[in-house]
Amino acid sequence: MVDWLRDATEQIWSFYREGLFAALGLGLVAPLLGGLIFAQRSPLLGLVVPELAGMGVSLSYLCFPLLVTLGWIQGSEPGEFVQTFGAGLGVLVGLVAAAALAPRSRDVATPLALLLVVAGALSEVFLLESTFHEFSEEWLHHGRLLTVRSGGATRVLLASLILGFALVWLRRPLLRNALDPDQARLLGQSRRAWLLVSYCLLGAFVSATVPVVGPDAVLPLLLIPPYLLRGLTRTTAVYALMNTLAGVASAALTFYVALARDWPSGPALAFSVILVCLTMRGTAAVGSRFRPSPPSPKLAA
Amino acid sequence: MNVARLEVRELQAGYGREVIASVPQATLEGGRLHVLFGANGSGKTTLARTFLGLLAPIRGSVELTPKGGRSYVPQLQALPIAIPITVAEWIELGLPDGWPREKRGGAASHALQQVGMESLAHHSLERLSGGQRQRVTVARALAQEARLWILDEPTSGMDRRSALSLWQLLSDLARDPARIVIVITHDHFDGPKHAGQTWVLEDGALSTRAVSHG
Repeated sequence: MVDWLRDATEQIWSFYREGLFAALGLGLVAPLLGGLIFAQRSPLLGLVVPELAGMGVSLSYLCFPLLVTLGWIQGSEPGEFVQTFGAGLGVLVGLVAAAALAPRSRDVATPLALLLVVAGALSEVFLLESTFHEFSEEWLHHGRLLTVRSGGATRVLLASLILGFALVWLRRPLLRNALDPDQARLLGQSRRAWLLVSYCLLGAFVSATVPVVGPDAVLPLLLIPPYLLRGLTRTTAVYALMNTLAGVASAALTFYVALARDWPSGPALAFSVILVCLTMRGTAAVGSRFRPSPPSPKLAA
Repeated sequence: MNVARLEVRELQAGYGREVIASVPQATLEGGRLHVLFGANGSGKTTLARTFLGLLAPIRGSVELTPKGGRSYVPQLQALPIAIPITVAEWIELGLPDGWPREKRGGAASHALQQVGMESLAHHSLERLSGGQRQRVTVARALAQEARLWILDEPTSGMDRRSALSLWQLLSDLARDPARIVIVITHDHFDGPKHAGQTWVLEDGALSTRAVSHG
């Protein structure tokens, strides 16, 4: 057992080091960003944006031969810049389309749902029509967390660090605008400007990470911990900490699950995130049975 | 102490070009509770949002003197419960970013004490009853040291005892001449009893009638 574990660890370290670092970077901040999306009551946005980025990357694969023919770029496959540019373009075009489909309406859920369907279909079509068919199965449907290419981890870690720093630094105006937009305006904050800031953070982070790991390796971390951990704490600060803890633990567990069970990384990540969050919930439930409960708000008042 | 005054001139409030409420001229002074009545859809909330500056007037002006903060207490269902947040965190989030952390904490704690809710500072906002939540929103307005308060149907959905208690609290707080407290309500029973000045929005026009203290 010990030998097997040591061998497995060495194997993980040598072959999957880049992927592990990328997963830990994602696990550290993606759930925090997801918490902000939940605070804005727009979880559908968290679902759509990675799909839009995926569509953009697929488009970059489709257009790559044409760009080479035109002499704009060189190489045998789209590089990081082209893929990231494609992802960013996909997110930008998608969000502008959502805004155009729902003018003057607060409910953007319907256009976002429509975009989700369209982005998923176009991702498939673009890849099938491109000369990189083999890319589609692994990256688009299964995520590429285990086999992150050289330099991918640095890029994901850098994007995660920048996002983490921005979320901590701007937490008060971002949260205020998400939870209480009227109060934010009364304090002189522009609702549109801060919504734009939050969309830019989401769009930039997703555009930087999806080309490396695939949409299915971002979505579970973005959406599952913020939802499943909501009832575990009373304070926003502890909630953020729990999200980060669940993200990092899930990222590490993903590698064990994916290697031990030979699962693709996307589904392994979703399974791990759910398992970790439910374990945290279970632990909290058991702990609360043995702790003296605080007085109810009604009695306390 | 300066008496707070809200001067409204030739005001037309609404969305786009559609005028929903008009106020040729009105002056609301601090030191008494202003209660605004009106049927559903009469434009009370539109007018309130225009008073606060959340909605630009189509025509006319609204001027608050001396200048100061404005606080809006929305209807109960508009309170945030999307993510966990404690009462103290929520009050502090409504305070200016320029305030030092100690000042924000002190202001939140003192305001909760004033409305008799200090024991709930570290409770989840989500778990509070309707009446408790409204008291917390009043505490937030207090912490903000706002000059103009507008509360949108604060007693809606409350039992009679909680509603009476809130009316009493608002009535007491409105005695401070440095602040103007406006309550939008459908409560025709308790509202007039506590009002220092009653306003009625009817057919898109605002009018006032004096009533005696309850």
